[in-house]
Amino acid sequence: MDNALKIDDYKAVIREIYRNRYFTNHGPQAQRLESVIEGYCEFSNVMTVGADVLALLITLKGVAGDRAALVPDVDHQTISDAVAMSGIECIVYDGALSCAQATVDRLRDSLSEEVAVVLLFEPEDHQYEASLLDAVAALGVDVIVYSESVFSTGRGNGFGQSLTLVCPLSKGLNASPMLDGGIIATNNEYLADVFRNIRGSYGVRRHVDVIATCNGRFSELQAGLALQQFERRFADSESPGGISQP
Amino acid sequence: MAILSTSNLYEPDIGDIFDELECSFGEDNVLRATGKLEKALCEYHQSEYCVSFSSGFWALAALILLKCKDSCEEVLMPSLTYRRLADVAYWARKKPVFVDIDKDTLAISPQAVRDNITDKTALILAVHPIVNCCDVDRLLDISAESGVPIIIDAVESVHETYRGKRVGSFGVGEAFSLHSCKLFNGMEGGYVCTNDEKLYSQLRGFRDRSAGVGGQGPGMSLPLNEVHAVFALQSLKDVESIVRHNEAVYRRYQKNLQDVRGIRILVFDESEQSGYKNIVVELLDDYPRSRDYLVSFLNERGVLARAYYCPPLHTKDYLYVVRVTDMTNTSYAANRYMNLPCGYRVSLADVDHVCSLIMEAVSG
Repeated sequence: MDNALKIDDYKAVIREIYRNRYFTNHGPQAQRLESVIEGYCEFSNVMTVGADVLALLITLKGVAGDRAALVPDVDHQTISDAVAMSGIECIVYDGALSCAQATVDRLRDSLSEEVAVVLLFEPEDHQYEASLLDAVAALGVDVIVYSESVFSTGRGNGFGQSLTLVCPLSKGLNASPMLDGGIIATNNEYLADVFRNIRGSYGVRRHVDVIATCNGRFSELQAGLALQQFERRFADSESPGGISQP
Repeated sequence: MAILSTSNLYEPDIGDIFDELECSFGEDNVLRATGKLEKALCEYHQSEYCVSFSSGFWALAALILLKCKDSCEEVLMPSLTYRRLADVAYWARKKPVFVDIDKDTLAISPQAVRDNITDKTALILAVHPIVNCCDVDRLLDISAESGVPIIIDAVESVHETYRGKRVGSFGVGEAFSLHSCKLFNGMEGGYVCTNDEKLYSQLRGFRDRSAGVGGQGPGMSLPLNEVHAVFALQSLKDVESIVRHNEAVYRRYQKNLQDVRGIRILVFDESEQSGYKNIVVELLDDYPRSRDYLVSFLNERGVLARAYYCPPLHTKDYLYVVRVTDMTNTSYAANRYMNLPCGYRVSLADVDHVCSLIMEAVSG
């Protein structure tokens, strides 16, 4: 599939913005994008963020607070940068993919009382099984899955309350790298509020005290382009959630 | 009547946007506008270098991180300012220290800065208030004398001059926003202007992350979205007409409010270039209502007037450490000022309507 963004793609999105006359953030297109991803992936909360590195930063800070995180020793710029910017104490574990039990054992060995969260990395061609994610969460920690795999229908069903998914939109939608931004997905209502409040004031549903806001604003332009790509990528797929067609 | 707000919300002509879009598509069918925008902003601000970012917030955070004095932790900043300014310093791992404003200009007070410089001071974060500019010369002198670096949050003064010199040309690192509520509507985004080549390289390094782990210094991949750059380019072309509209709105407020007892409009310095973007009034002691009453009164009638930078940052609760110094002028000003509707969507008839409501609030 040719996923390059063409000039007519941009023009269509811009026309929609002018039709709505909504030029600021978290407008009708951003809200619709969050809603369709929620429906397709079956998460109760999806939050769009202006950059995927900010999505990961928000999640790390929102989940770990002042405590430590177990992070994989993968050669990945976004993960390295978000972890560094978070200021969270990090303990590195061998992030090489292996069988589920070996992964859980490796993580258990690295855990300490200070660790609040484990960060798992999914490269493009891999998704952890729900049973593995549950096994990691059963270690008594929150789990953040930073995933570069394409969105899959119903994935949110395998995510318990202590699991959060972070994904660059270009990867989740198998779209052009020109499509910037990221998403945070969770079924935990409290954490969703935390993430929204750290992201900034646009799109906050309920105020909760957070350590700081980080201006993860997502524009209507970004949202419109992502919606276009979503509808191209998933329009023919079955969706239990019922994606609305353009 | 549509709700009137205090945001600029300039809407470039869609045909012009499409033209700019087409110009920015290369032969390889890839959209590239940010480089062009950065060059145009250098020319506009008379700055050597410009580095764009995904937002003004992170442009400023990068600047704080990169310019702070080594092994010092405190950043001096005003309290009567952008409500997230302390958070910007937080992400740069610095402690905000709130210092007082000048009572007449509402800008960070150079004397307060001088009085509060200690061996822990990492940076002076000067901020232009939303009408006119801070005292750049005195603040630069204090920075030079003390050895404490200075940067300027110039978000609200993008078109202004200070003693004839363009804001953005002072060289030390000045941050701007391209959010749609600002003078330039890029939908979202920000940038830094500087004449410091080393800082320029560091800012690029912060923003442009390549594959590989560590060894590159602090940063995050936060480039300006190319389509946002297209919007900003068009706004830049339209700036004179935007400013003319803003000035007409300002003059109308001036005329309508000049004889209203107890209200003083903050005047733009006519000896300087200005964007005339923001309308701020002070409620004087002989105004019979409180500022908050007037704000509520107007809001209830579809006029989104706002209390000026309310609440002041030093009065908020934080989950990280801040330090508060003497706030005499800030506390005095905190309940006296308000922003009135302005910007592209406000007409002269809207201004007349707002002013008549202001008078009704007193007589009603």
